[in-house]
Amino acid sequence: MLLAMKHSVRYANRCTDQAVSQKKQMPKSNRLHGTGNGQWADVKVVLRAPGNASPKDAPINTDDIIAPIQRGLAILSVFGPADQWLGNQEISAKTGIPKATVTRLTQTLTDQGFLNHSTRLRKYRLAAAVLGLGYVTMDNSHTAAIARVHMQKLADECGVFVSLVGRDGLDVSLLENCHSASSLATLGVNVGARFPIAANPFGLALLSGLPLAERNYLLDHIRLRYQQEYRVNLRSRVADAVTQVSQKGYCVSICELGSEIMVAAAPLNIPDRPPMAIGCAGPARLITREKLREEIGPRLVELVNRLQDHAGLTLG
Amino acid sequence: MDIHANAFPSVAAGRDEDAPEDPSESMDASADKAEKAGGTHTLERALTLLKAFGGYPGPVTNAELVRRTGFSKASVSRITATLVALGYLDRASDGLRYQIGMQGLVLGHNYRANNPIKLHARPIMQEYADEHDMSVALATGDGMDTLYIEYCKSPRIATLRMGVGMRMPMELTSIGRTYLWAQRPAERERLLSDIRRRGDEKQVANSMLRIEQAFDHLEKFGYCVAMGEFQRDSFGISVPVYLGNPAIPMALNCGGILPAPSDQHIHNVLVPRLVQAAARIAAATADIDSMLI
Repeated sequence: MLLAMKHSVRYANRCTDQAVSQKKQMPKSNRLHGTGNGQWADVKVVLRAPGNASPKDAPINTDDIIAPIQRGLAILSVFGPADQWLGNQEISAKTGIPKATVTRLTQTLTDQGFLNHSTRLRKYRLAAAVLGLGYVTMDNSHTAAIARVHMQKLADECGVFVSLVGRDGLDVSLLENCHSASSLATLGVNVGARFPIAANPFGLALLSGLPLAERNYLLDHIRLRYQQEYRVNLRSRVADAVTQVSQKGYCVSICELGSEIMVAAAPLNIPDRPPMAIGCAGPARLITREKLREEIGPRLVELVNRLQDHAGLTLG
Repeated sequence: MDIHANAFPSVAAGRDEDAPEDPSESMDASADKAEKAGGTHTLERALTLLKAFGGYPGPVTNAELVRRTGFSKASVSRITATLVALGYLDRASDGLRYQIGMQGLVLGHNYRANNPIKLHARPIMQEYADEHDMSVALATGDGMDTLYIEYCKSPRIATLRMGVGMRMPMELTSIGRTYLWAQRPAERERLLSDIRRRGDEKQVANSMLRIEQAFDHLEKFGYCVAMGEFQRDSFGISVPVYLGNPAIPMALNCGGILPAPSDQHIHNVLVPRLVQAAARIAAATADIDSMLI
């Protein structure tokens, strides 16, 4: 239920505090929770200030990029998992950096321990010191911190509210929330909030990403929470989400969460991490089905793939 | 991650002559140097700044980066802006601090994808970790720091926030002192003389004393122990290990949360088994060209 959507930024800023205090005072029965029919009882969309846009958030001017740093790091990053040894000539060809510059930079990078040089092959390969440039060990909160930057970008560009959720028993809990700078949409819930897993599209996406045996095990327990007449409905909702995820990588929920909210959610599975899901929500007035299908869904899948490819790298 | 932030020694003023205080002067000076050295100087500073995160994912302020690197505020700002644009750093959610971005992970992944250590040393380390419910790390040197290049832990130990890519000042940990001890004399002297110039007089005197004690212990028993030093509530037991051909001296440790096991258990069980693990790693990598490690 969209209670209030105002697009006057100034007004929103003035009202934020009021909205927050209203949210706090909201009677408990009125807050998000699952009901027997597997839906959220009520969804508040409250006013908020759009992003904390400070001058520091301004996009970085590419003129500010210091060329030698860009070139040095470009040289390190041409060494893919497949390219073990590269000579100056090859590096120059792959990066477009003049060979004389490459020669100078590979020399420096070798002196500093980032590259090994084989005098026999007259070629270079990555050396141990590159592990010191950001190969960090992450727990869940760090995954969330890294994901946040990319979630915020999606939120700003598509005008949606983006959430990262993880499983906590038979609930999903919110690990990270991003509001859009361009839209006032929000689910009005905070990090740490919990919802029954099968009662919302985020949880359904998470379930869809699980191995079959694990999903069935959870469903057997979730079923016990529901009355008999809703159990069939539960199965079919999960089956529907699984089909959507296997076809497109995400599932959608059209006006299920309250009458005017569109959601796209995708499972996020990073090896050796608990399963998670990312979802985008926005008001139906602004997020049409076409936008959901053609823009938001594919962007969401791209984000998930990026996080899976990169965040998962620290494990292995 | 305040505990660790405090543990990172700040660079003594004056050690980095290339970081003048006046921003305008800094611009000119770096531009001038960049001209002379073809930009390698600027690149080195950027790499130093990335290393200053120490492998921890937590956000760090510009002021803390200034403290850790000894660079001027202006050059830290310019370098962080470039590193954010290139994806090596991200702005933290508060918009003010910086945290490690994804590009560094990719570099590390590409290195590890082709690295024989994962294949040969990791299973031996994991076996030890599981058997004794400890964490096990393999470290090499990187400047005056040690860098974890492999790390395994028992699924049963409480989460120590450690892992591959972590760097720690060499003089402050048992694995660092063991690494120093394992180096050839010339290399060891060079590192020690660098370490003597890091931190204030009192810190240096303390570090040197600890190093001396560790060397004595290594000489006599082949291992050394540190308790509650770099990480307040953890301990580490380290032995030297030699990998590849020609052999590269590194260090192997096992560790956990205090209280530490009894001296007897350390001496009679943990150390002999760790020495055995080191010997197995050496044997498993004896035919591998060191250039590949």
